[in-house]
Amino acid sequence: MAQIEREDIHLISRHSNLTASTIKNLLQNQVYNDRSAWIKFLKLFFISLGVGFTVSGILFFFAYNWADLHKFAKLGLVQGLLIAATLTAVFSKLSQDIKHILLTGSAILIGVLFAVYGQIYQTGANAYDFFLGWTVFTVIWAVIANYAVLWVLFILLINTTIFLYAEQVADHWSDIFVMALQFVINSLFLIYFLKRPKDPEVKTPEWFINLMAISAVSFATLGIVNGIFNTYEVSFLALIIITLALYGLAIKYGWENHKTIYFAIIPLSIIIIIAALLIKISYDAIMFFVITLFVIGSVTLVIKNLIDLQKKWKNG
Amino acid sequence: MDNELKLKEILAQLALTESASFQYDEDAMQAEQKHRSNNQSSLSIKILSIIGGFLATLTFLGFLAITGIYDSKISMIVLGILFIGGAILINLKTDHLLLDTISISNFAAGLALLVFGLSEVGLGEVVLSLLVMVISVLTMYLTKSYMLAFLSFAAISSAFITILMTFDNYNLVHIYLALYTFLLCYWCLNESKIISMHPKLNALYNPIRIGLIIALFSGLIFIGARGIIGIQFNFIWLTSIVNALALLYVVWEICTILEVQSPKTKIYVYTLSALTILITFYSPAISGSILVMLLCFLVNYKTGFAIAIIGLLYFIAQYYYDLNLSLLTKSLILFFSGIVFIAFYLFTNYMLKGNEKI
Repeated sequence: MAQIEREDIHLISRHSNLTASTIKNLLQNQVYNDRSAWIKFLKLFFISLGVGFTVSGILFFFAYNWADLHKFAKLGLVQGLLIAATLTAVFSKLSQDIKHILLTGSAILIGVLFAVYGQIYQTGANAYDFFLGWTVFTVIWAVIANYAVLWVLFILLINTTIFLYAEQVADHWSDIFVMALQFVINSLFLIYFLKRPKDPEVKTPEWFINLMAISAVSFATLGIVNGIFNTYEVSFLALIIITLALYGLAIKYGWENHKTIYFAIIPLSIIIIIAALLIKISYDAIMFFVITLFVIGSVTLVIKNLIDLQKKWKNG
Repeated sequence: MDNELKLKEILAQLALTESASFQYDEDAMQAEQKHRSNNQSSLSIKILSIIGGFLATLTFLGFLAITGIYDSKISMIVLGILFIGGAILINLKTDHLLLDTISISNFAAGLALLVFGLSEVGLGEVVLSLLVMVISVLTMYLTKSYMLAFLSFAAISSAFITILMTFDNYNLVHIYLALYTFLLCYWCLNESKIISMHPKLNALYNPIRIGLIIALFSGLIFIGARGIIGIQFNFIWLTSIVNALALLYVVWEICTILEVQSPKTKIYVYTLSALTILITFYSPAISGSILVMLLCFLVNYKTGFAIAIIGLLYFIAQYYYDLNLSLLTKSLILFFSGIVFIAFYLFTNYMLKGNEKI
């Protein structure tokens, strides 16, 4: 018996004389959630609310008393939590998923520990110091655990460290150079994750790859738009060349591996860049009209292309 | 093709179980299904359409601003009407996804121009809003596009809230909330009745459902985020009571699905519901989110369910953030609420372990 979906029921109802009561029965049997789904949901709902509220309560309690705690107590508390979380993650017999979540929590706690330290001793360190330390101490866990969310945290930390370093220490670096740097680094990560030997047990999740791709393309786009509106410099030329090369590679990869996302974000990036170019050329009314037409036309083309690709690859 | 065979199979099943009077137009169904799969739009494509249409509208309005058209009221009105007409015409003639982007941006730009132009001429807010409502209803009736129907519905809701706001009494927002809560409940719970009423209404069912949810949550944000409008809380009971009644009805439906039979369990369930309603009485945003969450789970509408959960988390966080109590008191409240919920979890677990029938 075919699984009837909601869209099917709507479609059939549009072109037939099915009665309301028949439709109601169909919906209740095939579409609406049944008893077992409800039980699962209710249990999950209550336990999530329960744990969430209880933990928040404990957090708020510590927040209230924080100022009065002795500094050793503060540090000891965070360190204790960190050690407990990590030991549980490594040695307990919980499921792999929970262990990964615990380890990610530990990685976050590293940051909290450094923050508390900085607050107590007023080290007055540049913010980038803090992130650099946090990054360095997370790298081993990220590599070994090989858990997507932890990788995201790690890569986020790297990006933040670079950004803050450029802002606070190396302020002779131009904006474009920084964005080009971040583009290259994020792309390198993306390529690493795509090309590394496939582990039969652990598959790199699709959402993670897509997130990396989007972040890399965002940096490239921001960098080039920035370059368009600022004075010319060598980094801009270098960025354009690298972007062209990497975009080409990405399209090739997407084509060979039937990944539509590259055919969405790269054209979108190019559309934004061209729109920026057009604005740079002239600020006239005519130009805005041209940009409007261009945006409509190009987005339409991109969508049409995506649909065609989707169809071709679904049947291919 | 896969879908074609599946449809045939479903129809064959239905023909067996239905009475002799069951008639259906299979060719039309197959044609529409084929058309749909040709124009399949995933969520990302829908979003891309909206962003593209939005950007195009903005740049076009920018273009118009530069040409100085905002000085001429008549041309604004005329252009507005032309664009809206154009959007509807495009939709009537073809149902191609590609033209969706254009018709969306036309509709939005046309509406904006019309509203600007007419307000410059001196038309009052109420009349203007009513006009927008009429145009939107007409558009919804004529259009075959999901996006355009959704946008028209959003326009109707905006016009409605504008009318309410002209009375300079922010408490009227509760009328909006109460009405939309009721409409959403009715719409979700009577899916079978609505889609069998008329093919046009059937096609509008999905866009209106998401339209109602988004309109409702937009309104709830005004209640939930206290800083935005200075709302007196005198009339908050209106929304809360509608939420309470709706929640009790939904809980009753859930009990039927869960096949709850023992009166003791029923008492527990209704006490829990009454407690929740009482606690969230001064925060209808929270009770509203819970209601929408339960409704969407009931009818297995995943998008609405996700929106409701995000809304619930946001409103709870907002509520505790705004609470004018010391951190210590807040921490105790949170902690004990947490214990209560864990108790409910254990209760649910226990109820279902020993005996199958609760």
